[in-house]
Amino acid sequence: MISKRIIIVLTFQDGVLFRTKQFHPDYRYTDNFVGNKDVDEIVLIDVSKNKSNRVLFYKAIQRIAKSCFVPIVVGGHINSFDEINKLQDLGADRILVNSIIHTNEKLVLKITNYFGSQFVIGGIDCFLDNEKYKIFINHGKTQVKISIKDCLKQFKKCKIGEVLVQSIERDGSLRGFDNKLNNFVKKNTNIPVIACGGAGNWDHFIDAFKRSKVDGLCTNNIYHYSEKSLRLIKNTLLKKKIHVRPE
Amino acid sequence: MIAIVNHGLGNFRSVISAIEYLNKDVVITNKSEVIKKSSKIIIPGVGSFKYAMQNLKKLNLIDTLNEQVLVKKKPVLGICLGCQLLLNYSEENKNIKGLGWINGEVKKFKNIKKLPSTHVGWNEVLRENDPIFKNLPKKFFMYFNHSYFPVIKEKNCGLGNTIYSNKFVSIFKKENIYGIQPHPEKSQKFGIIFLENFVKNDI
Repeated sequence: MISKRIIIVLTFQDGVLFRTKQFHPDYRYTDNFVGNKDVDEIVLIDVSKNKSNRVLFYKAIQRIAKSCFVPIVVGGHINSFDEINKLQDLGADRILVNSIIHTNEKLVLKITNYFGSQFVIGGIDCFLDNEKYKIFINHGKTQVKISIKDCLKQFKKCKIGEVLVQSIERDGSLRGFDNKLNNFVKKNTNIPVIACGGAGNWDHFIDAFKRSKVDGLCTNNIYHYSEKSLRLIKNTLLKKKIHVRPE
Repeated sequence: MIAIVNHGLGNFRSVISAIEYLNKDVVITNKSEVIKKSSKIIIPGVGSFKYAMQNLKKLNLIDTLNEQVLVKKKPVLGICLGCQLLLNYSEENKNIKGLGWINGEVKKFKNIKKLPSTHVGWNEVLRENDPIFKNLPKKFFMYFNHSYFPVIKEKNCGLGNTIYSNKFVSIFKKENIYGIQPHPEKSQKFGIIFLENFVKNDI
């Protein structure tokens, strides 16, 4: 049986690793946990404002990829075929795209036709405002006037293979996942859904796996990265009959 | 030396990193002479069956690969899309033939009810006995990421089974030819052990 994934999301500004709060750099980290055997997947996102220091992000991917034997997803500032080839050369196994789904549908289709649907994760960044979800691109900077349902239809049209749904207002808030949002996305698509935003402690994972049907949950909280901590939560999840990879 | 065949569609860097971690000489190549000099061949792959086969044809590598694998019996390992290329054809595009070294075809996951249409994540492989599984438990987790899967039509070729809605053959073998649907280079210790058995042992 396919297991539920626990995924680490790492955000970089000008090649430096930060934890974010509402999508803004908040707290600086080092990346000495990459060899962690219990992580199921790692997502690296370049959140730099512009591409002038992109080479520093490339170096970070290369450094991490060298000793990482779980899948690496790379996202942020992806807007050409050449860029994808470059990222693969550095060690990316999959890519995460967001803005181009709304601005360059043809390119996304070209990518999924060539590299396959499974290669491309599509991001939906949501901000809850007056009980309504607004969708943003450009790392939370630009709103796109589209509903979640229509956004998922666009994903289908572009043959995207997986959804990463992020809650912007919960990012760095440590108050738990938005189960309502994540369930809504899960119900309206037949591709796998992974969710990010709000993880503050391991109970939030138990709660989210129990109350939503998502395929994986992400965290970018450093306190979750220690070998011992991940081992413990996986053991707890297994005891609660949530199917995760034991080793 | 291990030759990794570069047909343009794959996470080649990840495969190289894993082989280098095992301290084995490895080269990524799209040249016949280099493949001829190698001791073993790995064909990775991520993406479209059609484009990968077209690229192999354009690079004039098909005759070399046929000779090295079918005549010289050099050990070869196909990973993910690479394992699908070893079969006759894919449902993705029936007009494009695969390498056809093992009788089989590639099908798309359909009518899988409650499960997502892409099989992505960590799932179990239940294995048979074979030298490629030395030091591996009877059942182990590997990382999968695919929406097409291999259907093997030859007898006694299946080495490992995985369940995603239905059971399918996730690892197979015929003589010197191995195919693996999940990504051993991205499957932590069990994947590394699997690759170690392929690159270091006499198989």
